[in-house]
Amino acid sequence: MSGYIIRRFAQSFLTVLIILFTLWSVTTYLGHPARVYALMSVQVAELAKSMDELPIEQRADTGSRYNRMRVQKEQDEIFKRELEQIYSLDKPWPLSFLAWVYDPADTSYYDKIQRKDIPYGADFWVGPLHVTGSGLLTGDWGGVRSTNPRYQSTVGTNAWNTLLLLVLTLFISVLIALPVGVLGAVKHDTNTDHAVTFFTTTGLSTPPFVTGFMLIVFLGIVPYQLHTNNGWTWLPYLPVGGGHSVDKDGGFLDYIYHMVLPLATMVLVVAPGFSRYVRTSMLDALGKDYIRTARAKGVRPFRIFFGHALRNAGLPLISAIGLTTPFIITALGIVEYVFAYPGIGAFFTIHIVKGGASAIGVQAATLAVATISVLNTLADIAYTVIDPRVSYNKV
Amino acid sequence: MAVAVSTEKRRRLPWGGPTEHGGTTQVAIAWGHFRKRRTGMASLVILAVMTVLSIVVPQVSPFDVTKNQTPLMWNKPMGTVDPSGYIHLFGTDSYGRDLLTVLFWALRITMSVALPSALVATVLGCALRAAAGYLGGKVDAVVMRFTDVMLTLPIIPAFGIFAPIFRQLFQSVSDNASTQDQINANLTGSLFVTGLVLALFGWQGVCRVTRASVLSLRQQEFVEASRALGASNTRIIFRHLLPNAAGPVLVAMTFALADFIIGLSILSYIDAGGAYGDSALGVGTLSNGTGSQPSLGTLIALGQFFGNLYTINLNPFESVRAYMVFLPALCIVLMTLSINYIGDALRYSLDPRRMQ
Repeated sequence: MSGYIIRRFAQSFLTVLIILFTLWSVTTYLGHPARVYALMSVQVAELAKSMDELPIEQRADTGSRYNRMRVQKEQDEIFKRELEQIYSLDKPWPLSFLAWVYDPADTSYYDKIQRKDIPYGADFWVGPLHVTGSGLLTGDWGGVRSTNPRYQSTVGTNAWNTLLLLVLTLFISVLIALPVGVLGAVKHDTNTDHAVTFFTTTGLSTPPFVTGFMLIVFLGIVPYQLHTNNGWTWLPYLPVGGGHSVDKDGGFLDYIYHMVLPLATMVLVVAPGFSRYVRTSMLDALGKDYIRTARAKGVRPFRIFFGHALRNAGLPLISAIGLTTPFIITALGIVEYVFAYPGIGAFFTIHIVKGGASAIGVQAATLAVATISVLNTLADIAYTVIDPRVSYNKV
Repeated sequence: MAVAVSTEKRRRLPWGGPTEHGGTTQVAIAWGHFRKRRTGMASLVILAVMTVLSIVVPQVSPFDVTKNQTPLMWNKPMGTVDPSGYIHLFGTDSYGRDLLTVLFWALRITMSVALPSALVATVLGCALRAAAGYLGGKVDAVVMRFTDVMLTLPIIPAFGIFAPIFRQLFQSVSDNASTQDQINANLTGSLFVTGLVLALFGWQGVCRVTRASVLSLRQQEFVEASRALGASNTRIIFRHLLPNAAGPVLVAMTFALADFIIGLSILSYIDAGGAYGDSALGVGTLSNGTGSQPSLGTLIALGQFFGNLYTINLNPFESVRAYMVFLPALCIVLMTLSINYIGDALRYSLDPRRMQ
């Protein structure tokens, strides 16, 4: 068993490494800032050269422009070399990639505007061992560090909010999806089943921001209006954004209170897909022979549905969770954006779509791919542990 | 014998009906089952009406939604009279465009991005999987691994990485073009890039479905027979395997279409919303006082400013109207809902093992 777990984790580690290498090579050779800048300065150099070749009488009226361009060209060369050094592009590509993932030596860079060394990456002691270095593994995400040194600490603290939201979403979605899916399968082809199908399909066809906005309007704005303008002071209303109250100290209850609407939106977005899976696999399981046997034995229906059928039908749900994680991560970013939730999903989503920067896209992809791989691996392991028919020696 | 088969050409109409031999076609059988699904038929009607409206309304409307409007017309309520003499039935949006016209204009744009993307994704997924499933062995293993890797990349990071690259590659407008042409090319290019990213990162669903059916079809006798007759791999894949796997692929395509509509809405919603700088996608706002290509997500982002006022106004005769959000949202949900229901009905009617 432990051998299988180790093998499975090694496999997913390899997958993550391959994805990282692909992303790194694609962005480095097509959209990397240093490369783009190099391309730009080559164009400028060509332009200056073509002006060099002009005859004197034509060059006269562009004289000042020509000079400016020559100075610009020299500055460009210097800046390009600096950029290549920062991104380790002056080294051969394997070293360059390794330095992007982890570089044990490089832990600070000289900021010309602030005129001082700014530390980044890791610098801490583990007992007698001094761990230093920069790169992806140490939490130094590159790209943004030249403009905002505090960026990495922002991501560090807000990552926990996002993780909590993700875990709670998965937990509550499964709790809701199981009974709903079982209900749909047990009452197959009745009005109850049609209603369940309608609600799951509607949930699947609504974009997360629409769901979020509807919840904001009907649980946030309308109750607030009734509370304040209509004098219904007994009516509670939910906060529609942020992570904690401005005027309060931000205790645990306040934090949970602000998480209700984002969490509800996530569950409304995620649970329909799960319950659809449960319904399909329950329908399959209810047609099997052992269910008929159990019915013939006189086992109570509740026990048949939850004891016999669901134990088999619940298994595909585990792999369904693994398969839907990319969509869940996307939805997480959108929902955090809609509710201004202090997580990293909104940060990445906004910067990717509005900024159009490859560097941030790679960071987000790294995080997302790592999360999804871990979840997939955990799902596989859980599947193996729960299902006695799956042999883990042969994988 | 071979001569007899070729001369006795069977006439089979694509829309079904009895053949010369007295039987019915697969399409006719499937259509007969599809017709019995009330939800599927209703969805088909709704989708057809929406498509026709999205084509007709911007054409017959007296308002041009691609031109910049006067600020005097921004956010006008229901029934406002335009300076040109026409009445804005649903008022105007925050750029002064006629809301009804721009709604169906956005519907048209959403469809014209999502539908080609779904087609491209289907072709991609089919080709990859049919080849992998039929050839088997190492090719299958490599393609499967590749699909697994692609399955773990969500759409937004993928968009962040590849959209700037594609934009660099595909947006070359000649310097001689007028500013208007350059901006229009830019906007169209952005839609093209968005559709391309959606297609390149959305084929996995189709791929998985195709693989399952090709794997089971590969074992059947008719494939064996045509291989014995000396048919090439390409011929077997395209003439025998893919037509037989067409049902599940069609179903997967409808679900991919619904996913792409939601994906496009998400991207354009975030692109157009809030005060986070200029629009990177280019589909969001009326930049430089010229035309724009709003999708339904854009309209929601533009209309939801009343949320900032922390009030909700259901009165349509005031400038801040709630339905500026609810109409496009309803459009998205209706469209994706009907596509999903059509997919369900298709799955039911194309499945030979359906419960009778």
